[in-house]
Amino acid sequence: MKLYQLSLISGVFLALLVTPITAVGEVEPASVARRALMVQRIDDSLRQNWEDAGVQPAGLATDGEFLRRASLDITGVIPRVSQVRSFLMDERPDKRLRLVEQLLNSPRCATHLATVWHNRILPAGTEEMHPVESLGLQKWLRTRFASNVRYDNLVAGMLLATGAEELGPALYFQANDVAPEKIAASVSNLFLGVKLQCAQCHDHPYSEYTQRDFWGLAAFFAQVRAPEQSGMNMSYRLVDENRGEVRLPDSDEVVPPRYLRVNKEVDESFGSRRASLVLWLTSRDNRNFTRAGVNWAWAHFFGHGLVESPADVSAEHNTANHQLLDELADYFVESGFDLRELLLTIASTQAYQLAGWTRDAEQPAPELFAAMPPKPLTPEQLYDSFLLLAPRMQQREQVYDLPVNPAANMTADPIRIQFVRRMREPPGSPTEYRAGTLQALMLMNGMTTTELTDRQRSRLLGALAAPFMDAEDRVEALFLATLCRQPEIEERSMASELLEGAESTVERNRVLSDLLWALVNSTEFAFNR
Amino acid sequence: MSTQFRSLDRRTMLQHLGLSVLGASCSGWLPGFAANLAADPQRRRHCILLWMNGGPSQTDTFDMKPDHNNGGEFKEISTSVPGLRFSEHLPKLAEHADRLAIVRSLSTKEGDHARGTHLVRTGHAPMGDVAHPSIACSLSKEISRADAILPSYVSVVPRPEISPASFGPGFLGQRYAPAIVAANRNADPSSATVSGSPLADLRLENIQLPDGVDARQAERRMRMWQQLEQSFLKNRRTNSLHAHHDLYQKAAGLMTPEVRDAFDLSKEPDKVRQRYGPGLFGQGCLLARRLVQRGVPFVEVALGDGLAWDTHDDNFNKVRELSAQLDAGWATLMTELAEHGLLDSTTILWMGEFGRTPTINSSGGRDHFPAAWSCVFGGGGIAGGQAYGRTSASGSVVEENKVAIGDVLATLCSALGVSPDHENMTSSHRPIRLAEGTPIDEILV
Repeated sequence: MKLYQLSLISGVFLALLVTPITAVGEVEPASVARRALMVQRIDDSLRQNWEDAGVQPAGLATDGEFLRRASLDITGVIPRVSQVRSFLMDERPDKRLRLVEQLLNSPRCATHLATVWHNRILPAGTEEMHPVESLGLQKWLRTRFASNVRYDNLVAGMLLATGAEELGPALYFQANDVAPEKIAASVSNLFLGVKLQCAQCHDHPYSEYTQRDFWGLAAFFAQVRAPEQSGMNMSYRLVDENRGEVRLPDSDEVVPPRYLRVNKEVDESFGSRRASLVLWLTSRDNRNFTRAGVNWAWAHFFGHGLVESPADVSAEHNTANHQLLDELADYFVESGFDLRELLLTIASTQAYQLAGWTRDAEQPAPELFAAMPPKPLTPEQLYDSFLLLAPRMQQREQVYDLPVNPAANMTADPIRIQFVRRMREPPGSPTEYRAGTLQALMLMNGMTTTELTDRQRSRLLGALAAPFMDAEDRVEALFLATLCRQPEIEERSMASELLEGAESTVERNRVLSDLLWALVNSTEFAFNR
Repeated sequence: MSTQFRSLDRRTMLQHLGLSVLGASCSGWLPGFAANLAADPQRRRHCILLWMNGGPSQTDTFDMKPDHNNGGEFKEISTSVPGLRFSEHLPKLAEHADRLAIVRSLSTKEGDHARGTHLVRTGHAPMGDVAHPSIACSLSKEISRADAILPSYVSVVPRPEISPASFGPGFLGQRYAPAIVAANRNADPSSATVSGSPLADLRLENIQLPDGVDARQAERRMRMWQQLEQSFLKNRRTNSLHAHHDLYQKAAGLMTPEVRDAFDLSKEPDKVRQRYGPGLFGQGCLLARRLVQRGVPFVEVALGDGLAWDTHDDNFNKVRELSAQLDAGWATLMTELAEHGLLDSTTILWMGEFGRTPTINSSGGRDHFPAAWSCVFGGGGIAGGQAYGRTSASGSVVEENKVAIGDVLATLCSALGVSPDHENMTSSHRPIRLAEGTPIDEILV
């Protein structure tokens, strides 16, 4: 039996997979103008929706709120005190745009996007079952986000993984048991915006997709194999054979590969079925592919996609948001699938700068994007933000002998892995808060918080000991470091009162440590809003 | 000002008190039958899982082969049930045989620690795109009460490193994760069996104030926290924000003397503590009894540090020592549950991830063996005094009434009055049954 290794696929094709796009800082003025037009178009469309619905949008978020939000969304951590101070003092009118650009170009952005994608593409629980491979995939993704590899190439590279050279996207296949039906369900959901799982077993009563559609897609993955590992070679390897078919459940009928709902001959000249699928899937004419990509980017910032179901273009769903999604999809294709440019565009909109709802406001449907819904910090955002405030990183590097670049290596931190595991919720809406009391207790009394608020060990608290700072400065620094805002009058007076009552330096430091504890346990800290 | 933290405590406690008083008075409004059932404390079901890390040897405990070469050096003894025989190293437990049902015909297919643990604890081999919960998480979810202050699932010194997913709530979410009771390692005689040894020191994780934080500081922290919460939430009403705040209030409610008391073994007479055995397992069994008394529906106690039962060498000395711990802890637990009238409402399951080879290897050890092994049910809902299923004379194959792991888990569900067919939904709306198997009717009451 002849085996087709994917590395034999045309070299031109593979070379495309790692072509980076110019960094944001270097873009041509023409694309700046293009972006401005697109941003304007989004603002107009949403404003029209608000008018049609008779909705008064929330006001603009404060500078501190925006800084914290953009930092968490783009880099996965809260900003440092120094960043907060300089941003609040910056008087340039375009400082928010500058901030977003700067964040998108930072190494932390690639790390954060790698985490987000890792969690999004793998079945829940994979990182526990395959910890080493999971780190390998994050590293693989980070390299690609760091060089802003084209979105179409990113997806293609992932789906064409062979796992031979490095740990990485082969885990996607491994975690889905190299089962054609599981991979097909995942691919259609992630990259086509089509939820096909139900069609696996039956024709879906409310959907245009049939069981044959499902198995036709699954057939593209029917010839991928993970051969038994032999001897000391422990790396997980995928090969494409030229045999293997899928059959309709409870039947002997072989379903040949067929592009989803497209009457187009399957081009089998690419050496493997996977390659045939990937070339169709990631092509610029594949509407569902580009719409699903853009809708993900939107949801990354807003907690909800621009539309609920991007592949649904039936007449009753032909709303303004669907039209806007189309325009954004065109824009994305014209930019050469430039993911960083797309994220920059969405983060430059007026909607992204809105505050959350206040108590008295009516709270209209989320798809109007008339206010920013609060998103609970993910376990990774929480831990990495704690680390920013705490001194542990350096000590731990000595213990575990890790290289010193925190952005590149923080995922290998065993305490972080344990923290994330115990805080992790199953997939669901990113705007819903679902933790339990044990997690709250862990944040109140657990090791991570205890070390963070340890007077002797906290870098933040240590810095506050400087003699030139008075009580007010110290309280202010703690608020800026955690919540990116100044304390309100009552908060200020409560803290001052307690600090003035402190009879010794030790006691004063204790009060500051308690304030830090209260801040990092507050509801305001726990959310990205 | 300084009374705020204390008043929070009191308020939380009063709320809970109020709830139970309200619950009792409300029951008058319900149709009599249902109300009586709900109010009858005897209807409360509890489960204690005795988890044997590493895979215990069935041949040296509950399915002995004294007449065969494989039998090894241990002798059989008779129990309180004629014809039912255990190892000589389980003499106290033998007195409770009338409340125990031995399943001798369990057969599984995973012979690796991680995979076996996953299979046995979740009912599923570790593959696929569903993060299956441990049966302990899914069952405690079913038998817990909404108004309970104490956690629904307490796990005493688990060793989940071998397969973390097998010990967690999977797709059910972290609110169904176990509350972990940890050992104070400084005073940890984990395998001590000699009476008079120092007692293992157990504490519920994160319920105590961290070292170096005193009550006065804790009060100040909560006062500042309340102030921050008030200024932030007064103008907001988004549900998720208030859910966070409410959860913290509830967690603070756990940091009360009453809850700490439930976990405080020093409240028990020294004589009682010694009777359970001084090690982690013995003290864990005592804690299980204290918690069941206070209404905790699910408690898990692990025996042995790491993979203690993984006796690839020196099997007999190791099993003898482990059996001593097992016998003291488990037998005393049975006795005391019965004394407190709780044995009929408490189902006990003893098992590990697989059994061990009936043959003895050249190092005097026994190796992994999933093909024919034993687990033991006891207490509430179980028809005790019997062995179900049979292995061959050599112990190498099941000859009668072979059961799969799904059947064992389904039996546990049924003994607790929960239907194994009950389904939970994954986030992608796939229904997953509590257990894929058929309850063993013969060992159910």
